[in-house]
Amino acid sequence: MDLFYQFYIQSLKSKLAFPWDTLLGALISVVAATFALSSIWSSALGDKFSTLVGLSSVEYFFLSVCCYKLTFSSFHIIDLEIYEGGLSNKLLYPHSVLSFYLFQGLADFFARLIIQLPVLAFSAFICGFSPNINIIPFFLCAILGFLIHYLSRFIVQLLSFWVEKTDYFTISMMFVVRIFSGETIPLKLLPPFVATLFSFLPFYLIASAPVQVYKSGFSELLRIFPTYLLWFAILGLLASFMIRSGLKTYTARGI
Amino acid sequence: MISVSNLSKIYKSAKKSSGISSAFKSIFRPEYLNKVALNQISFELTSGEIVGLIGANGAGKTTIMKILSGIIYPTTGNVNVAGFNPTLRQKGFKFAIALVMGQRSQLNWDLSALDSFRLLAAIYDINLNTMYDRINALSTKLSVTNLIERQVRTLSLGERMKVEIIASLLHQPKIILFDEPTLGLDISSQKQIRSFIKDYARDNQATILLTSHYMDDIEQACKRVIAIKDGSIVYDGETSNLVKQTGDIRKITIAFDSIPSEKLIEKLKTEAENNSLKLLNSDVIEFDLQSTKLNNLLSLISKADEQISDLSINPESFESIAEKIITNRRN
Repeated sequence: MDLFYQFYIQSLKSKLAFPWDTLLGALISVVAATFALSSIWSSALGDKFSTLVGLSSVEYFFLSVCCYKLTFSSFHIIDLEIYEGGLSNKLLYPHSVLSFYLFQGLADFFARLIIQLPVLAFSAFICGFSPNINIIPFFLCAILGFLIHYLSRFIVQLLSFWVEKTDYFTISMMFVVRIFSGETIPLKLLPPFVATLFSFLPFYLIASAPVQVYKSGFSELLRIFPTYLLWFAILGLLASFMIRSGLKTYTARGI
Repeated sequence: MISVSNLSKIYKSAKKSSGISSAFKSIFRPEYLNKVALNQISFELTSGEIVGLIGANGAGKTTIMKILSGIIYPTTGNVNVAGFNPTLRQKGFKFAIALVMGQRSQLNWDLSALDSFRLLAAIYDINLNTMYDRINALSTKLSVTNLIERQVRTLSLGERMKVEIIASLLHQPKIILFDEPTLGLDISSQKQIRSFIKDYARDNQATILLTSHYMDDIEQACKRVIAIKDGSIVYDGETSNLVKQTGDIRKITIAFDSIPSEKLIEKLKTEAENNSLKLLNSDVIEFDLQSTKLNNLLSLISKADEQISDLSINPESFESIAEKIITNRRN
């Protein structure tokens, strides 16, 4: 617990070293993305949007953009550390590489959440979104969504053990998550077969599932919780297998 | 404490030929190069020993450090560090070792060193009182007590290296691998770090393996030295043996303003050791010289018509002395 607390304090202090960059960046990205996406879909579907999705376009996109924004961690990048040899330091510590990064990432998520909560509240005010009581299970679900998003990106970054440049993979991953998670296209608007297929993928748990929890409350969170656990175990095992194999090829360039 | 037998490491890398056609060709038919970084080396270090590891760039020093610390896997051979196989990266092993890298930082540059120390204390499960005691002791010895609360990015290279050393030693490892800890530091910082390493090994019975490009580091801190060339050990013995031999010979490099005359070169050849004079450029020459002949050299070049733009007098490198010792033994 002490390690988690130290990671959390470090993340918080690093973010507070550049408070305006962090706050303004969050404000602009949430407000701009919400307005852009809701305008596009409102003009395309009009009132049909809320009938199909069950929320107004502003509500849906404010929540889905918040999910993406909160669960996306660009702070701890393992691909660069593998490429430049920075991973070596972590290999000396008495924790597994996966648990070290996951712990660090989760602490950073909470630090980001604490700093960005006032910004999100202000963004909600600007967008005209007034949350109901389900915002609490929504945030709990977003924490679980973070773990899935973090592990998905981590696995793609681990390809750096075998390929020199993972930029193309990580950028593609960003688009895959934005589309497959339902952040930019609500799954309800897709053909039923495609929507069902997407709902079986882990990306669904990043944005669509928390929005669904906001609509239905704690009961939906309890229903979807085992799915989070299942994907967390699958992605965790895959990441740990990749680390074990990758370390056999690691040359720790640069030290 | 450290035992290495028949250790080899081969790095496999893709061949990058010049030209656009070879770049396209390598997509479909990639060619690989095998670089032998270590070739069947064996050595042992006992508890409390400080051993210097020397060799030119690319000789294999850092590869040894990486294998001993469990960062990379050896291709063949056996390694035992404090009773552990480093490649298994067991918890006990990680508590027993530290790797201090002159070129790489484990501190968060945006925060103070103390913040990073706190994180490391949590990583190694050290309670806060013990952590502060150790920081006080180490920072006093390294004269950085007033720096640990400053943002790391505002520290000078020498100051950062000292706090880096404190960070690596917080968990009191019994085996410390120093990879060029004095690289780029001024003379006074080098001296301070050298004496710190010696004192630390003596007080804590720690085993230390130290790589450095500076002869003074090895000479003053290590009783024993291992010299490596092209992945093989060319010398493993007392440092004093090497130092004795470096005492006599100096490596002289003279750069002239214009091409020196044949007459001057002939005169220098007669002074130089064992036909060692060679032209590095048409106007730069290099040769070995007995230190007792330095006066002769200075008077010779002061009387010459040629103008000198640069002159350097350096002790012969440890690596070349080590090679000579081995060659002499074989003959």
